[in-house]
Amino acid sequence: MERYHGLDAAFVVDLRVDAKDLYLQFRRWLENRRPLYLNVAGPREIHSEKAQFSIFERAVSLLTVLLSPDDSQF
Amino acid sequence: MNPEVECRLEKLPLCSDSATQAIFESSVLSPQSQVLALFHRCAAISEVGKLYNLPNDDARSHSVGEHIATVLHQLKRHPFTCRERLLAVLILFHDVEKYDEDGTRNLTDVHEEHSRAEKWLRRYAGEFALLESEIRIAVTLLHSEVLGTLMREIAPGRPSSSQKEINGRHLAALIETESTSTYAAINEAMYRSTVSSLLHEPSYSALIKTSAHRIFQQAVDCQDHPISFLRDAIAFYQCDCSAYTASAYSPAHQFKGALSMEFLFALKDGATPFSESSNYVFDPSMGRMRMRGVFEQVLRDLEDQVQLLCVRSGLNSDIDARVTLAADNNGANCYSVGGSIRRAATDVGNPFAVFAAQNFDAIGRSLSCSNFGAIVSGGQTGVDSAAFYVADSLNIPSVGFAPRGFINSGEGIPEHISSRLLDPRPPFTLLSSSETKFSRKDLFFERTELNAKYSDGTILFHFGEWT
Repeated sequence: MERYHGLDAAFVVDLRVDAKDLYLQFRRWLENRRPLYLNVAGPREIHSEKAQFSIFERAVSLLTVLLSPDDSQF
Repeated sequence: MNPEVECRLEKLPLCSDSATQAIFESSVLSPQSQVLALFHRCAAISEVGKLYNLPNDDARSHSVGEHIATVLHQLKRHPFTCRERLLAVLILFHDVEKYDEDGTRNLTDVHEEHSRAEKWLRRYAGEFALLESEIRIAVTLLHSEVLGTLMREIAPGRPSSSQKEINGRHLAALIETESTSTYAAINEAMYRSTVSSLLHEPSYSALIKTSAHRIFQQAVDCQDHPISFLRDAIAFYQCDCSAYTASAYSPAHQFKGALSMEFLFALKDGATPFSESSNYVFDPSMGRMRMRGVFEQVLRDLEDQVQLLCVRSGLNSDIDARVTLAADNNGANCYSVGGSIRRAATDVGNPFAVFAAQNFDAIGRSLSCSNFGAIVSGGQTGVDSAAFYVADSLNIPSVGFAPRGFINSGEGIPEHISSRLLDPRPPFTLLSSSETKFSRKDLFFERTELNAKYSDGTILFHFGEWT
C-alpha cells in the first residue's frame, strides 16, 4: 500500500510492466477497498520522451486490462 | 430493565409525563447504540425540553418525551429503513414552534412555523452529527406537506356524496341519542364506506399522481433518491402521531404497541376518548386514526407512482439497493444515505453528489461488476486522458476536477474530456468549454489533490523507480 497525497490508498503501477501480472493483485486491492470513486493519476505526455514510449498509449493498454471486469483470460 | 438504560432514563429530563414514562418502562428498548446515543443527546438538550414545556394542556401531547418515544418505537420497527438521526432530529423539532410565544395560540402560518422549526433543526444538527446533505433532506421533509395534504384530501371532510349525507344524518341522530356503542359502530361503518369509495373516484388517481410528482420533485431538489425520500416521509408521518397517542393511550392496552401504526389506525370501541364535538367524524385527524387500510393503500399507490417516475427518469431502485449494499461494505469511508450515492466525507458537502445523481444507473452497474463505481481523472494529457478514454470504452462513468482556465498540454481539450470536468469550487458545476480556455493565471486549485481526496482510492502510474 502506498501513500498518495497523504492518503493511504494508492495502487502503484509501473507503466512498463505487463498488466496481466498485475490483474489479480489489482482485483484483490479493489475487493478490499471497494472504492466508489477510483482515481487514476500519473505522468503527462510531456514525459514521453524520457519514458521512450507514448504514455497515453501505454496507459490505455494497461487500464483496458486492469479495469475490465472480464477475468477469463487470467 | 437494563440498569444502564434505567440510569440513563433517570437522567432524562425530557421524559416527564407519566404516560410517556410508562411507555418507556414497558418497552424493551433497542440495544442499538444509535438509540442510546439519541437518549444521551436528547438529555443534553434541556433547552429543547423547555421549549415544549408549555402551560397549555394541549401541548402535553407534543412533549419531547413522547416524540422521542415515537422515534424509538419506529426505529425498533424499521431499524434499517429510515435514516435514524435525520428522522430523530425532524421529529424533535418539527413541532417546536407550533405555538406562539405566549404559549396559547397556534401559529396560523404553516410556512412561518416550518421556517422557525428549521432554525432549531439547523442549530442542533451538529448534536446529531448530521451531514450537510442530510440537513438538506431533513429541511425539505420539514417543509414537505405532501403526505399530510394527501391524507387530509382523502379523509372525511371532502364534499359529500349523497350516500355520505345520508350516513351523516343517521350519525347526527345517533349522536343526539347518546348511544355510544351504536354511535361507534355507525361511525366505523360510515367511515369505511365513505373512505373506501373515495379510492375508486377518478379524482383519487389524479391526486396520487400529483402528490407523487411533488414528492419526486422535492427529492430531486434536495438531491435525494425519490424512493428513499418517500420512505422517510412516510416514517416521519408515522412518527408524527403524538397527538393521537396521547388521546389513544389506555391501560387496557397495557402499552403493547401503543405507538404502533396498527394501534393508531385500528382503534377499537372504547379505547378512544371521543370528543364531544358533534362534527368530530369529519375531523381529518380523528379519521386518520381509523383508516389503517386506506392509509396503507394510499401509500402503496403513492410508492408505485414514485417508482414509475423513477423508472422514467432512469433512477432504478434495484440498482439503488445493490449500490447501498456495496457501499455499506466499504465501511466508514463511503456509505449510502437511503440509497442515494453519497460519501460520508467529513467535509461539508459532497463534490460528486450531483454527478452521482445524474449517473446513478451507470454507477450502479459499474459497481456491481467492477468493484468500483466511477473513474476520476484530472483530464491532462497522458495517463489522465487515457483514463477517460478507457472509461468510455468500458462504459464506466467518469468525472474529475480541473481548475477553471484548465488547459492540457496536448492539442487543446476534446469535448469528451472537458464535458466531465468539474470546477473545484462549490457548487462543483461542470466547466463549460469556454472555461477551459482561460489563461493560466486562473489556475488556483490543485486538481491532483482534490481528485485524490474525494476518491476512495488511486491507481497511480509511473515509469522508472517509484519513490
